[in-house]
Amino acid sequence: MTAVLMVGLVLVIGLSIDVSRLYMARAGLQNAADAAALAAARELNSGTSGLADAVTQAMSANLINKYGFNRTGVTAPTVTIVKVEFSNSLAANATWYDNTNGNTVPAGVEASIRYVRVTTQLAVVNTLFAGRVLGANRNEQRTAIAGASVGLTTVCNFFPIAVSLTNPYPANGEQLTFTFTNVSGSTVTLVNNGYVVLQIPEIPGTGLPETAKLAAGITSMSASIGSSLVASQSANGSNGTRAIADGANLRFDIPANGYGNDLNATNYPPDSNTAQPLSSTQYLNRSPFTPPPINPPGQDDRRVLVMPILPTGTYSTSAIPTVRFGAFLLRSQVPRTGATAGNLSVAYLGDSFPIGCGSFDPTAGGGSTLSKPVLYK
Amino acid sequence: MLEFAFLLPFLLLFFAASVEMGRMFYTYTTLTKTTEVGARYLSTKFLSAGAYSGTDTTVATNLVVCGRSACTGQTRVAQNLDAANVTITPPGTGTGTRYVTVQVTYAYQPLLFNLSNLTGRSGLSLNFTFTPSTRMRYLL
Repeated sequence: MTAVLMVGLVLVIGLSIDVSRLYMARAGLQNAADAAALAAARELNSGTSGLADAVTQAMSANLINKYGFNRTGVTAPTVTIVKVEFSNSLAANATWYDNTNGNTVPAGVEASIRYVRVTTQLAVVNTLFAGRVLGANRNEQRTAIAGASVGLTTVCNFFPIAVSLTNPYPANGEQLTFTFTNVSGSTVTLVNNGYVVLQIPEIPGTGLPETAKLAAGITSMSASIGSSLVASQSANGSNGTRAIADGANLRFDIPANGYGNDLNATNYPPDSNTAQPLSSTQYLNRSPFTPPPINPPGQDDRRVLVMPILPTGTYSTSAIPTVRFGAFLLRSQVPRTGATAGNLSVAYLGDSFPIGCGSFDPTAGGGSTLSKPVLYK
Repeated sequence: MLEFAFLLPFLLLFFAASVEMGRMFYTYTTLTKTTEVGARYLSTKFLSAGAYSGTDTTVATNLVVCGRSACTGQTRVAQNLDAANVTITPPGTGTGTRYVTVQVTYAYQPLLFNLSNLTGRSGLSLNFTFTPSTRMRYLL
C-alpha cells in the first residue's frame, strides 16, 4: 500500500523541484530583461539617434547577466536580448515598433516614443522529473518595459547657469540666444534671455578656472524646484564670458588653453557630434554628423544643457529662485571675444527629455518635463 | 499499518529532502532578486573618482542583505547573510557606457536535510556556494 503511495510521493517531489527550477530561471531572465530595458530607456531622446542607441544598449554584449543556477563549477547560461520594441503608449492596444533589425518607427512618430520593451531569448529549461506534466522542456521568455518617468522636481548634473525667459515654455525646437549678465552688487536684473552663472557648493572659489569648470559641466550635484541658488560674483564682465566660452566649447572638442591641465577631454569629454550649427531635430536625428576631431568618439548628450529657468525681474544674488528646468541644445560654439562673447546659441529640446537622475516630490510645487528612466512592467 | 511504520523514516527523509530542495531554490531566487535591488539603487548614485560614497555603498549593501536601507533589527533575506557576502563593482572612471555589478557570494547551509551531518561525510552535502549577480548600466 505504502509502496504504491511512494510512487506518487516521488512524482510530487519531482514536480516541485522542476517547478522551482523554472521559477529560478524566470527570476534570472527577468533581472536581465529589467537591466536591459533600463539601459535602453536612458537613450530615448525623442529622436532617431536615441532609438538606435537604445537598441545598441539593450543588446550590448557588455551588459552580461546570467540565469539559472550559477553554482561554482557550473557555468550559468547568459541572457541575450532578442527583441527591442518602442511605443508611445502603455495601453493594451498600443502599437509596438520592432526596431531589432533596423528602424521601423514612422517618421515623425519618434518624437513621441516614451517606452521601450525588451524580450529575452527563449531559454530552454529541461524538465528533470515531471516530463509527463510539464513537457520534456519549457521555453521561458521574459519581457520588461522601461520608459520616461513623471516630470522630475529635483534635477541633477544641470548646467550651472540660470536663464530668464518671458515665456518659460518655449516651443519644441525654438532657437534662442542667451546673453551673459554681469553680477556685481547684491542684486541682479535679468532681462528676457539673460543668464547668470550660478555658484554651486561642489566648486568652491569664484575665479576664472572655476567658472570655466562650471561651464565645462561638472557632475554629482543637484537642485530642486523651489530652492534658491546663488549667483556667482566671479563671472564678471571682463573675463566671465571668456571662461564660459572656454568651458562650454570643450563640448565641441575645442581645447581650453590657460587652465593648466584642469579642463581636459578625459574629465570633460566632447559631444559625439560636433557638427554646428544644428537644429534640435538635426541633433536628435544625428544628421549632419561630425565626430570630435581630436578626442573621438566623445560622449552623447554633452551638448544638452539642462538649466534652471526663471521669470524676468530683479533678484537678490544670493536667492535666485528655481522655477523650472528645461533642456536646451547648444547649437554652436560660444564666442570668446567681441560683442557676442559668452552668448549661448541654443534650441529648446522639448518635453520629456530623459536625463540620468533626479527625483520627484509630489508635494513640491511646479514641475519640469525632464524625466529619468524607470521600469514599468 | 506495520508496513507504514517501517517506511515512516524513509518518508520523513523524503519529506526533509524535498523541503530542503525547495528552500535552496527559494534562497537562490531571493538572492538573485536582491542583487537587482542593490544594482538598481546604485545605478543612479553619484560617483566620486569612479567609486561610490561610503553611505551609498552601505545602503546598497543593506538593501541586498535585508531589503532595507538600515539593517538594525531587520530580518536577513537569507540565513546568516552578511555585508561581507556582498561584492559591489562600481562603474569606475572614464566616460561612455559604464556598468555596476552587485554580486552575492553565499554558502548555502542546509537546515532540515543536512546529509553531511547525517552521514558524517562532508562531501555529501548541499553546501553549495551561490554566486548570483546583476549587472546594470550606470544611468548618470
